[in-house]
Amino acid sequence: MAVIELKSVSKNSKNRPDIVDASFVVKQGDIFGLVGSNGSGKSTIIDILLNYIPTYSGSVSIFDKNPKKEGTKIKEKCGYVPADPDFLLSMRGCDILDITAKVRKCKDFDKIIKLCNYFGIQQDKYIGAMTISECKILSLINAVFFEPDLLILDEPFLGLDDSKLDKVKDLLQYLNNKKNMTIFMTTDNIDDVNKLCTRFAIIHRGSVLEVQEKEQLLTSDVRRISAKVCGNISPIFKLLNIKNVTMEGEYVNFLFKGNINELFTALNYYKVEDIQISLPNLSDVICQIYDEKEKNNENKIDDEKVNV
Amino acid sequence: MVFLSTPIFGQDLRCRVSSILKWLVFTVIATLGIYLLIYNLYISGIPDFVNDLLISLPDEIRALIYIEKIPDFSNVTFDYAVCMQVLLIIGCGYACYLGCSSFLVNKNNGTLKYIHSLPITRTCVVITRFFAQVTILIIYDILLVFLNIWIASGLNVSSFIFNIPNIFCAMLMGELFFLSLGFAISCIVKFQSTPYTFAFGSLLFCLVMDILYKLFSKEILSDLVLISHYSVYNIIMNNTNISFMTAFTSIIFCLLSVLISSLIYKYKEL
Repeated sequence: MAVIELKSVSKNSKNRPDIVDASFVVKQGDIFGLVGSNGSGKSTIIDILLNYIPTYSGSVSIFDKNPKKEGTKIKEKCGYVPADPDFLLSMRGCDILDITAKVRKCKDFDKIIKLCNYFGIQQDKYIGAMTISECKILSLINAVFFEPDLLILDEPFLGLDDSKLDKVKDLLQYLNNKKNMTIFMTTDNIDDVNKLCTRFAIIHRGSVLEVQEKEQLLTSDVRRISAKVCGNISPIFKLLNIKNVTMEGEYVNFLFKGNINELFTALNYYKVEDIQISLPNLSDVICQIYDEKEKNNENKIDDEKVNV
Repeated sequence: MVFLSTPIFGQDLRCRVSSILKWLVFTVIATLGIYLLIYNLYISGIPDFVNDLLISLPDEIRALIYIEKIPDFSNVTFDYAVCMQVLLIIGCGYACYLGCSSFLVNKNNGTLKYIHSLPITRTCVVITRFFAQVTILIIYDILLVFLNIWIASGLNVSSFIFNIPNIFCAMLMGELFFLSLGFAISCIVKFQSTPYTFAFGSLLFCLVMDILYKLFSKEILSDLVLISHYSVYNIIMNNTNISFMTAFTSIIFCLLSVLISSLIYKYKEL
């Protein structure tokens, strides 16, 4: 069952990044990551979902409801954590939670206390005295204590303390696994997708490039290599058709696609002092998608020429 | 009553507490300033000097600037009326400022996304916000009533205390008018400097209209001197009441303002 469904959504705005023909589906029980760099339109998509932007082309449905017409009903089942949560500085954490509890008619204050204890948040602390990390956690508690069916998170790990980061990830996984909460989050870090998400979409300059399962990212034969090698290894790059090579101090960084054993065989002829192999980062994935699209286009043109 | 239970109402009251206090301090300082000015004028003999100066001016010029002679500041009723008229202008300025900053205040303190993430309709947000602003004005006016009583007792004009309900009513109606004006504008514009510009711009507009009316004596101009419709000066000096038509217009204007704001806000990008 689709919880969120975007079909050909486009939006041109002076103040926000444009959205161009964005389409994707978030299914029940997904932890869906919308991955994109800054200014790619992630937050604009969330603004459209929450009806902060009521005018756009295309269609959006959440729980099979239109956010423009039934926004209130959707928000009853939906928790939201903004990228930069701000509350009134003169209010205390408990005031905010109290207001939300009253509006959402949820009187289970035990959950709030448990969550505050879990994160070590002092409820009676004034917002003005809280750190960005504490505000973010408060916003998260505020969005999950009533156990919504859908949780929308805009850059949930941005500005969080390292000590809280793992706790937040654990909580999100717990809510998804045990409470069957569907989670939609935006991030610019593909590692977050790797650790948390079940499905993800890449957004670049307002266009949703591709929707993939997490396994596709892991099973992809592309890896980012960072190696410290004695001698000139440029022949290897020619031999294995490696492009986009950059130097960072003594380390040479490049993206390798193919059988990793071929790379190791080639490197056997050199003295390798250090080597790190990791998943490609966001820009690598975007480049890869564009490369593949270009290749497909070139193939199509070649086929057409042959036919002619 | 449903509106009063929403978080916006409480939040607005909270974030306006400091604003009420600031404006009240400003009001008290302005009042004391007027007193001191009147007192100094009265004891320094300046009025006689100015009167001599005015008499020496040609009749046409005196008619143009509408000052035949310096008012008699020894007249306690006059002092009280001038003081209350100034308080009305300050109150209207405050109301306009409140109205103009109604929606911008959320952008400034970042609570916009929080409020709209709750299951509350946009119409509810607009209506609740308006009620919150009216409540703030009523609190401000109640505080002004105490200031009024203090002024009246200071001037030893206890008979004017009977005028206080009329004065309160006139002030509130005037402030409501300016609040509504600012409220509708706040919903349309998005620039942060607008509240200040518009609040003081509208007062300046009234004063300019007042001067133009005196210059050209056109009835239509007198209608545009908005503050004159709620003149507490007239209430005190001539023992008049605020007209039913004026009160009715203010209330209709309020309703229209809320209606227009709701319609605009419904389709506004946040």
